[in-house]
Amino acid sequence: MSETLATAPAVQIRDLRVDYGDQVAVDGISLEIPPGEIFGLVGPNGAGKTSTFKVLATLMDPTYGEVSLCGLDVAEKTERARSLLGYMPDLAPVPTDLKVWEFLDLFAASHGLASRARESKIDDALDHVQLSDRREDQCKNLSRGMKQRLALAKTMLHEPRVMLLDEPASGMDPVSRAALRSTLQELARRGTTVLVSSHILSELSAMCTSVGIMSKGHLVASGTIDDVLSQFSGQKTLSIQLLAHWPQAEEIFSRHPQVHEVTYDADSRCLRGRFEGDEKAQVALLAELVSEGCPVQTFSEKTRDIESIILDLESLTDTKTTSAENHG
Amino acid sequence: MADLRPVYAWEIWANPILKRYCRSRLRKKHLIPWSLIVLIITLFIVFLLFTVSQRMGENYTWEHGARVALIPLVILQMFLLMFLGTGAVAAGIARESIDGMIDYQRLTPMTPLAKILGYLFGLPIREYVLMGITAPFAIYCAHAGGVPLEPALKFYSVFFCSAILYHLTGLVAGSVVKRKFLAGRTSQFFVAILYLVLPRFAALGFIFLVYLTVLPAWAEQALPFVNEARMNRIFPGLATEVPWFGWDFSPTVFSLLIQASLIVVFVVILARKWRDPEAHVLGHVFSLFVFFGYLALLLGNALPLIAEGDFFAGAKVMMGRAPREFQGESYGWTTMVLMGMAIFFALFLVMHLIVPNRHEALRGFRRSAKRGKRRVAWFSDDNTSLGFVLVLLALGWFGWALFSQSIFNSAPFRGVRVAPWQWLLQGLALCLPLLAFQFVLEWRGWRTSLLLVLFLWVVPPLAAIIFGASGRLETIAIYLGCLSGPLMPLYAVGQAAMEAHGSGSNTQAKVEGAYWFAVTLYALTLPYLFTQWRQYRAKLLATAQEGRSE
Repeated sequence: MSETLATAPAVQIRDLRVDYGDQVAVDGISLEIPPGEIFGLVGPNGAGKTSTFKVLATLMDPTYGEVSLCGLDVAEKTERARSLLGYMPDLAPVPTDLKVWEFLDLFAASHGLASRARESKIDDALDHVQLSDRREDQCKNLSRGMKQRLALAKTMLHEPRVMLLDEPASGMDPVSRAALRSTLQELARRGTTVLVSSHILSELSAMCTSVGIMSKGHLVASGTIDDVLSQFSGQKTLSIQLLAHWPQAEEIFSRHPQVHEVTYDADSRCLRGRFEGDEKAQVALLAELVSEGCPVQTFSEKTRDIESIILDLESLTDTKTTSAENHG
Repeated sequence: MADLRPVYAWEIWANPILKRYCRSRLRKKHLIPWSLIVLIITLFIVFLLFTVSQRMGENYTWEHGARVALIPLVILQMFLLMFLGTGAVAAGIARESIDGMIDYQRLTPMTPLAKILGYLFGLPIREYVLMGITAPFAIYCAHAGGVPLEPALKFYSVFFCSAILYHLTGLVAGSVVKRKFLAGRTSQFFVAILYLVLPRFAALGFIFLVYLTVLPAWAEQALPFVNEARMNRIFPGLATEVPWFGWDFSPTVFSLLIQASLIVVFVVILARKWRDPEAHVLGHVFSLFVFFGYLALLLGNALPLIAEGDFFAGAKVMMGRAPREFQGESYGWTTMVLMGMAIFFALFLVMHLIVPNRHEALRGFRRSAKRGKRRVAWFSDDNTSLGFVLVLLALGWFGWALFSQSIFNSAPFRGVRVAPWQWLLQGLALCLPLLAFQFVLEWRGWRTSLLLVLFLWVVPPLAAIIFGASGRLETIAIYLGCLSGPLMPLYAVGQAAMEAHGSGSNTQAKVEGAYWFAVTLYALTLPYLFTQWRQYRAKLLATAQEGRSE
């Protein structure tokens, strides 16, 4: 068994489906995450992230599909799988009638940590989340961000192999966010697999080693951040800032066969458009603009980031859905 | 990974949830004021009775006073542990659920039983401590009053068993009612009803209800210390042996048996809910066992008492009626109606607990479709509950018929002529409305079915009362009343009672007509409801299979 735990993927999902009555929350997703990854699950509200997390956390039975953690089927070996798991829900609750250390002691003991080891584990966890000076405070007196940090401390107390963090940074100040990032990276270095869901995409791309993008219950892309970006690499944006408004520049830019969806921002005097050409084509376009006397201040290519990909996917799915509904 | 060892259920002293509540509920700022209040009340009781016994002279010694002091002390202990404790359990678990802490706890690798025990003894820990404050005084009074250890231990074994049972009820109430205040008050209301109202029903054939309290154990264990006639006046018939089918049990043992079996049922329910919060309170198969147990309790007491004639004699004592006023036959007909209604309501409740809602039914079909099957596993919560409901109805019908037959064979019914097909009439009255309810419940969900219950089963009898009170619209009142499912047992038995006496009155004809009108109406509605239910199931299957083909 221990051999299986060591060699199996940290998280394995096969054909997972979750329904709420007629509504499909998760529709047949499959995913495999190796140990030591920080995997970001991103997507808009209603994409199915929380449902996926709840199934992984053994808090919900899927309609069907197989989910295993470190090779253990969570449906069959639930209790065992739970000992490998740390889960921090969105807006993680803390009890109102316990002190900070009592809350941690409850969960350390519930996970079976021996009383001798508990004390030092609690101190370590509080150090990690910078709450050592709040040890004797009542949980209810902590700020929102501190409660999030306390919940994180609770989640890592028993050194789980897989951590599921649903919006862990919500309510945290920038310093705490940076600390969260380094804590998660340290855990990953030690072999813990971390699944994070977040709406703050810049934050995810800074800490995650791989991402999965969910939309309308589907996993539309997954892999390392570079892999996901390369799947959408054909799409980049050209941004041309002018010294003054110059209609001819807009005309040249718009009629170029490899430029699409041109927009002009009057405030920044900036022309933007999706560009499908290569670097040579870019040079040619710049030369044409300059030769026609357009006052080009800056000329830059913007590679697509995860955020813009998600926004595009979202609008694409919306369009498909609307179209299907119209035809249906 | 850290070195972890499992938390075993039997290591209750090391249970993390129990320790958690020892910390949070035994903080000085709460415990000290409460302890002082309890101490003052306890001291007041003991010193008052001691002082009174000193002034009363030889006829009333401190030995008597100490025994009398035990009564308010036990009542105080009951109030602390059973009333306040149950409220604390229900409110506490509701708060855990509202705060989201339940989900955290669900994710820990403790077994469901360890978690249940942690909450069961942890949430009312303050009440246990407060009761502990009264304990030295109770021990002293028992010693001074010459109460031997054995009856005291027997009584307290039932006392703690009852407390655990009520606390488990509080846990179930708190898991279902998601409001802290409401959960606490609901469970306390249940305890109050159990002591103040339900024992009265023992006189109407529901003898087992009284054994859910500590009263029979108190009556039995206190009997050697008080006058028997006086005991019978306070607790009529409670200190005598309890027959159950072919066996006789002492009240203490019977109380322990009945309460322990209910504790097992509640623990199974809670363990199911811990494993899967979306699971039904009762599984399909388990519901059969629970309902069978309920019938066994109802009939196990009543049948031997009826056969030996003690059923009517006991009722006479419990009702405090003079022998001339008590009419055994009327009492028999009444208990028959009440038994029918009790079975009806129990079935109604169980059906409600086991029916799959639309989401569950669709999920069941989807899971089956995924495995390439059209049928859902028969024991699954997601499968239709119709098959189990039919078995439950058959059991209920059989139980009611058995009870009725034993009443017909009893002494007060000698010479009373009852139609041989009376069992069939009762069966129709019980099964047809409930079957109709089952189809609507599964097809349209509980909101619609409860709305229908309100307009078809509650409003018509209320209207019937108004019409009846007017004194002119008797026929309409009788027919309207019969539309109500829970009242159909009354009509089924009522017409038999009237016919037995050969009254041939106009009212008898109307009651008979109303009964057959309602039976016909339900019988005609059933095929329509059955068709709708089948179409609903077929649609669900089609939806599930469409999902697969996509």
